Amino acid sequence: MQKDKCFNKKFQIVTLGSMLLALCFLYPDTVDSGPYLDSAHGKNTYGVSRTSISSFGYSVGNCVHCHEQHASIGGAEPNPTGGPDKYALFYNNHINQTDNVCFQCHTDLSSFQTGGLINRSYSYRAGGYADSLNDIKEAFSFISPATSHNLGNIKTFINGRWGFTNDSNPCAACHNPHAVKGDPANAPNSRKTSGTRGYSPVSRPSLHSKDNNAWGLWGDAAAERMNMYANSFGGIYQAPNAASGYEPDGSSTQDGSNLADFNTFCIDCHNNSNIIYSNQLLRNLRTFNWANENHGGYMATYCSQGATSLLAMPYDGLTKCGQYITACTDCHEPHGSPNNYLVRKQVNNGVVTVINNGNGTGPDGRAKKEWVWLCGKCHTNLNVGDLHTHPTGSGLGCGKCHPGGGNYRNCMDCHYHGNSSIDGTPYGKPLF
Amino acid sequence: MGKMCLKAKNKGLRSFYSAFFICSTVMALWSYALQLEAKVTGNCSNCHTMHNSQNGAHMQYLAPDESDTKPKQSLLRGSCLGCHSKTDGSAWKDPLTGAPIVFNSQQPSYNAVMGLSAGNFYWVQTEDTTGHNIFASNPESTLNEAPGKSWGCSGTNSCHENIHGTTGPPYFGFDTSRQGCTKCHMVGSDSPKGYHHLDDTGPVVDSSAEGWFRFLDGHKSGSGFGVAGIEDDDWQYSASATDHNEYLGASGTKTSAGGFSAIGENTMTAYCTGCHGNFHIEDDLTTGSPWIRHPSDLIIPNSDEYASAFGASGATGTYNPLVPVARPTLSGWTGPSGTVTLGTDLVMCLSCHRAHASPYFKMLRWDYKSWPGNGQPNGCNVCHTSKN
Repeated sequence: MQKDKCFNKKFQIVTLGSMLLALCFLYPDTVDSGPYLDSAHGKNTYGVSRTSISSFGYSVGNCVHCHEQHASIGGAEPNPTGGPDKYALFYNNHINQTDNVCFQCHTDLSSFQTGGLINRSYSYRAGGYADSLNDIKEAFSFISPATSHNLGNIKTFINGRWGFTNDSNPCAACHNPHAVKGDPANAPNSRKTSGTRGYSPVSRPSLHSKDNNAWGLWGDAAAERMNMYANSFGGIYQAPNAASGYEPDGSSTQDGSNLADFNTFCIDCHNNSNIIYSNQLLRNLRTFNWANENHGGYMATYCSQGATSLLAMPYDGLTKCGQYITACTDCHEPHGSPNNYLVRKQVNNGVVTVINNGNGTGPDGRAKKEWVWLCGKCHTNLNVGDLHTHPTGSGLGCGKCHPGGGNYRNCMDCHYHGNSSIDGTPYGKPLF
Repeated sequence: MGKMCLKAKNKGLRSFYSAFFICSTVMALWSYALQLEAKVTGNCSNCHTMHNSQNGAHMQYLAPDESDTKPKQSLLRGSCLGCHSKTDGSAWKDPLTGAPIVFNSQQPSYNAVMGLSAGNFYWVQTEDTTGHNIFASNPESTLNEAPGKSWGCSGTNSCHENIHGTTGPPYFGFDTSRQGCTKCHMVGSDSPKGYHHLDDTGPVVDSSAEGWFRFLDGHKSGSGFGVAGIEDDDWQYSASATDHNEYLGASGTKTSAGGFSAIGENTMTAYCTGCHGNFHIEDDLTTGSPWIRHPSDLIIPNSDEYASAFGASGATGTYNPLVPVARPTLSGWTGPSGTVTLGTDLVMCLSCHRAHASPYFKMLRWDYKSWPGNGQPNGCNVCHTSKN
């Protein structure tokens, strides 16, 4: 009897276990969330939602908001019409600087995305700068003296590289549309905070692949952050000041462990070998090796005079000189800027205005010192009457910088990416 | 006594052998009959009636909402739907005639996909967007021609304009009227007669003598062509990786409106594009790829994200009846294959759509419209493995 009871109990356990195991197999599959569904476009709460598609009741984040399988739903092409487009997109992949498929939604005015789309500048998001620029199309609409990343030049450059073709969208050089995340995520009118990080909207162009799993985000992993980049040179990254706290998220973190390694990202294109023509500059971009630049891996060693630090806070020119490596985004906007050369409107929590290629007046009112508006945000004593901060004993005569007495040469005559010579004479070390 | 026993024993053995022989013969004949199941068998009276009268009552099979009890052409006992419909949701095959049920007036409940391989017209009753509307009494209310129509007759009730309307002979190239089912099936002859009596034992059905796959053939410029395939013996009432239809596909030009005459192959895609031809203009004629529409009859690549399509490893995946593929050739095939070979097999119209109707928007095989909000898997991801 006892044996029977025991058997019954075992039988019940085995039966119950079998049923539970069976449930594991029978229970309907749920959606397998991958990089697309986690992306800004694929999120079913705030992802893509074209007005003419959502009216059919398609879920937010559905492929059809961007890709029309037949260029027809219900017997007609959903708005915008115009026939099928490459990649089965609802609009021409790329037409010009302000007209491509991305801008049909990434604009706050007449957007096909339900409710329009707000996207802010890097200065706004990372620095807490209150500019009025509020969409991507606007950022790419800057014209001289303002600047925007030239999409036509990008398209030309990537054609034939890394799997891109003449049909590729230049935006896709930097962004994987099936993986991109907002940073901050779904908070377009807010600056980044440690709680709203999407961490990285970018994917490295050199890793481009049709396989969405292979072409992941860059900067989302801890190993893809600025502290790791600096560490690879034995240096450190110091986050600039933001409107509150430090860039990029206003937190107290200063070592770049919360910032994507934008250097490695940008260097895919901007390095010492790639020749990139600029329609705006009407010349090839300067080539440079960031590993050998003062602000990069060379890690400038001139930061003080005596007991005076020549660096502004939070940089420490007395105890950390020769260690600093900066990030491209410390100075440059990725999309567009009201300044020349994509220079940010706000750097180290100070406002920058460079619209005359350095020939304008500086903060001290002196002509051709316009770059001090930028450089002076981190380098002190650049105004008239301050310490003479350029190194002495370098063999340079006064006239090299001060032609005609108290006048100034444009800083950029010597200090530009990739330069290490003055008027053709090698200086012996990088000048940028 | 011993002799008697021996005799009795021999008699018993003889009886056993006789019974065994008879049973074996019956079994063999029955098995043979089963193989012929696709071809209509049984008593003529199952489908035909001499006088449309028996004990004073008509002999017609009436579909839901049908009331016409008058005699039909060819002495038939019903319209297409009369024979191929049921008023419940559980019947998938007529128990008397063996006809597959393609229209249940109650929600199909007999399998997981709620329909046979082509789906079930149940869904169209209340929602036009879920299928091809064949109902004269409940016509299509949105479309006024086949989406993607590139050619074909125009005018009210042309087959290429709608399926629910009735063409009146001698219009549209037919000497007999066409309505609903016969606007797609059995269009290769003026009269849709005789197909049910053709021997489609296959296993590959690829000729007019066999009635083509599911009686799908071409007409006009597509005369002589038809759909080739292997017909599942229960119309995928049950389906698995090894239990399903097979379809022929042909990779070729993607810059034309398709159709049998342009494609020149007996493929399902060629058939579908007879009405939906513009959807077959998938490549930009001037510059070539990338695709401007989703390609059909395209070889599924064995590269990038597609290399793991259908759970593939080493270019071989498992056939998924939810996302059927076409084969570049069916020559020599004796039955369905349980594998998908990447770099060889093709995506086609029916990879995403059901031919009759489905529970889902645009007769898709899964609830694509609600994805990803519905939290369910998306059939697209069977091929687009990294877009989830």
